[in-house]
Amino acid sequence: MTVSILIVDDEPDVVELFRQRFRREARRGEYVLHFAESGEEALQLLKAGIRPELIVILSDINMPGMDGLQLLHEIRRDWPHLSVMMVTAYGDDERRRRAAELGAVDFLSKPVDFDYLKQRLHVFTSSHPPLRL
Amino acid sequence: MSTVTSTGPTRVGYGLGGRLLLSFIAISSFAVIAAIVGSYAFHTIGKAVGVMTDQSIPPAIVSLELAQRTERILAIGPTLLGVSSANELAGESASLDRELKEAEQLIAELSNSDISDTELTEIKTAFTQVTANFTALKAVTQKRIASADRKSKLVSDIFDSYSRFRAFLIPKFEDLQRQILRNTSGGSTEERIAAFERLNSALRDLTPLEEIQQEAATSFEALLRAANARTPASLDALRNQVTQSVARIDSLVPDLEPDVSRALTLPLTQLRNDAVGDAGIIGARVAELETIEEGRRLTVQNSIFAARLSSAVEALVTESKRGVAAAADQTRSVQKLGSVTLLAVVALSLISSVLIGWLYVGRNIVARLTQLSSAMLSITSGRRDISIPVVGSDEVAAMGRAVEVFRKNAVELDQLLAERAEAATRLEKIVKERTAELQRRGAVLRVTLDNMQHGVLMFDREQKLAAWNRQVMQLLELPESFLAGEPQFSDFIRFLANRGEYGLTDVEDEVQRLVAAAAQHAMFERTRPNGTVLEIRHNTLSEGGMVTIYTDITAAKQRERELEAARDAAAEASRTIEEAYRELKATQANLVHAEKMASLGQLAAGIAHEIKNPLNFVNNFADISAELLGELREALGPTIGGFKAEEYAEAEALITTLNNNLSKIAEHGRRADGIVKSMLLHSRSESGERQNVDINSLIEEALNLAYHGARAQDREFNITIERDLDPNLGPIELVTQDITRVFLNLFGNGFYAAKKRRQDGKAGADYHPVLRVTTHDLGDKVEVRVRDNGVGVPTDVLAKIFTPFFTTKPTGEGTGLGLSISYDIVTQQHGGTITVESRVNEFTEFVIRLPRMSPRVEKPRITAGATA
Repeated sequence: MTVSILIVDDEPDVVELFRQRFRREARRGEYVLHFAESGEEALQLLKAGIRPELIVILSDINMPGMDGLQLLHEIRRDWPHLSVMMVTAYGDDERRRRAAELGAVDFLSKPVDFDYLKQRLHVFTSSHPPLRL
Repeated sequence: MSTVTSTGPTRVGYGLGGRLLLSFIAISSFAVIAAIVGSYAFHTIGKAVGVMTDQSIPPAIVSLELAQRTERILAIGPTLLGVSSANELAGESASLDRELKEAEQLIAELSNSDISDTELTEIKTAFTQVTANFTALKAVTQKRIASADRKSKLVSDIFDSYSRFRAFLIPKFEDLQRQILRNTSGGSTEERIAAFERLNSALRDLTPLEEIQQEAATSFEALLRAANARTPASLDALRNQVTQSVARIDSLVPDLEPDVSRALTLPLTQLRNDAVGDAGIIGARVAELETIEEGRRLTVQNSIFAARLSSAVEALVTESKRGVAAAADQTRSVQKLGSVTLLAVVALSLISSVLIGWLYVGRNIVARLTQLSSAMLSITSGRRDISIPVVGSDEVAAMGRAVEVFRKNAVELDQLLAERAEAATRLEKIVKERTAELQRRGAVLRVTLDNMQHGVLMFDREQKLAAWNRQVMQLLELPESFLAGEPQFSDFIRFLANRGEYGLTDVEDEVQRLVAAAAQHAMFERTRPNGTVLEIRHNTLSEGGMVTIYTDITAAKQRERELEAARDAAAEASRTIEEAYRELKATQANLVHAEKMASLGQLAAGIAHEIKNPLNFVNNFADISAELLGELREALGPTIGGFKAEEYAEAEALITTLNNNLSKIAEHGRRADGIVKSMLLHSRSESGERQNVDINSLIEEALNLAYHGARAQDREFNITIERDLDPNLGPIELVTQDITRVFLNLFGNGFYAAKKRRQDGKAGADYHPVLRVTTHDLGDKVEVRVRDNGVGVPTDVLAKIFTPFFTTKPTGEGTGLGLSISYDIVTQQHGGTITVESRVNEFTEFVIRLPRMSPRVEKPRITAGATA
């Protein structure tokens, strides 16, 4: 079964990085990757509807405009069934605490450990609905 | 002395007793008047009450009784109407007559009282009418009863004749019926014919008989109904019916057998008389109805007359009540008038009593007595020029005259006393002059003594205190009472010794010693228990006795001491200022250094953040590229076989080189990542928990970690670790994780320096690397010293040792951040100090001082980097 992942990051090279990192999974038809360069764009995509079924959103925190925590808040409000993981270069406790408060399922620090990420995603695809951390 | 003579004319008059008696009589006479008025009022009230009891109440009672009688008489009228027998009538008549008689008596009683004639006449008229009416009613009732009696007798008669009639007819019927029955059975033809003949004749006889019997029954029934008929009209109808029946019977009688008609003649006549005649039942019933009607009419009339009587009596009752009320009102008004008059008299008597008391007793007697008494008091208190009232003939005037005599005696006594007093004054004046002279001379001496600055004590030949001054009392705190007792010198010493003046000594020993010493001149200083310093000069006098002079030199001594202290303080101060200046310089340098370090640290953290993101990409893409190269090789696998050997070798070589390059990129990327992570430690958030910990155990732990870390890197490595840890250090508040990092860093550096010196080879074979860790309790601080005997740090390097990125290690071995982070942790986070001393190829020693309660230093947060 193919599922979608939405990655929100203002860094354009992230698209290439994730595509290459997930090239095998994409080839096998496990995941379809969607990208948004800002929180606003992510919300537009969500409103338009994402196919196949979206299971997880990975979002950066520091972004111009709407930041990741704000985006997390809006997603949790409007699409409470979606799981959101926060990704940031600043792994400080304050952000970690805020993200957990707002209902993020995980908090990854950059550089992203892709092996760990794939493991986590596997958990989401195999045990649906997602576990809440 | 003079004889008592009466002054003023003696007046003939009443004494005090007479006047008081007069006034009491006046007051009493008012009481008598009050009593007379009171008794008059009671008499008037009594009369009014009598009028009420004798004239108003009896007619009222009689009227009420009459009203009750009238009610009862009125009730008898309708009763008569219902009476049905002569006996009953006699009973009712008797009670009626009784009531009427009683009422008549009451009316007679009323006519004796003063009731107005019109009302009485009205009552009498009405009563006469009622009486007449009752007489008529009684007669009618009698007649009605007689009619009813006659009617019932007739009814019983007619019942009898009807019974006889039936008694005659019934055997006849039976006989005829028997004949009919006999004729219908058996016998010969003739017999039968005869039987039929008889039957026919019997039937002929039977038919009119039956008809007669029927008519008789009808008549009888009609008569019975007539006996109880209600109206004359129904009676007429019944009378017609009976008349017809009788006529019918009369017409039938001729058809009967003669014996039968004969037998019926008497009953029929009876029937005719009883039924139809005026003396018959119907006539009797008519008469009865008439009497009933008459009775009713009379009863109605009776009730009208009765109402008239009743209203007349009612009017009389009302009139009587009004009379009673009027009498009561009169009584009340009389009573009120009596009370008011009585009150007025009592008030008048009270006022007159007060007036008599005030005007006569108060002004005439008491005022004069008061005047006399105040005159006597004045004389007693020394005034002789007062006038005494002696005019009058009563007891008070006599008393006044006696007082006047007393006054005159007093005046004479005064003159005598005045002469004696004058003599005494003269004598006193002489004494005063002499005393003043003496005092003046003594005062000169005392002023001289008292104005001396010194305390003076003088003892005479007998060693007895002869003179002293104020100063000595103050200086030695001697009570005047003690000195005034002129004590012996030995007693004086004893007094002081007992008070503890000479400290804790045996009092008698001290007395002996000082008495012995008193024979010589002496001059010495003594500090009193209260701190006063005295200079004492003791001189014996040529004429015997001795003088001791005390001077307070406390202030002078104090000044001397202060001067000395000031001199010392000045010397100390100059030393302190120099030291403070040096400290200030050092602190300033430290501060500048710390500031520089901190800003460098922040800069490093900021740079690290900026570098981190691009570096992530470099690392990630390098990794992926290596993976991709592997995949490329796999993808090319089948085709590469078709290559020429040298082409294949070249391609292989290129791919291998690319792979090597990528692993170089990855390796250096990771190195850069490590540096960035270290740099980021400068921007640690202040999240570390401060805990009260035992710093010694932290040090032990860090030493273990560092030693094993070093051994893991270099198996040859060896070092002697000396610990001198103060066991009584007590707890200290620290962020354990960060302080451990500092220790690891310092120990690591120490191991490195020692290793380096050994590797230099200059130290010789007997070189033993040693790392020494010492802890000390400095009160509010704890000191940790870390000393190694490694290569040491040259002076020029020493200045830059805490600067970020400054390192003496070869590239790749150190980031140059370890000590700068340690510096940050100790100074910024814990508010402590870290210093370093070193001599090249001898030692390096780091000294850390941490306050037990570290101040909360808020480290500025790094917020560099717009993107993550």
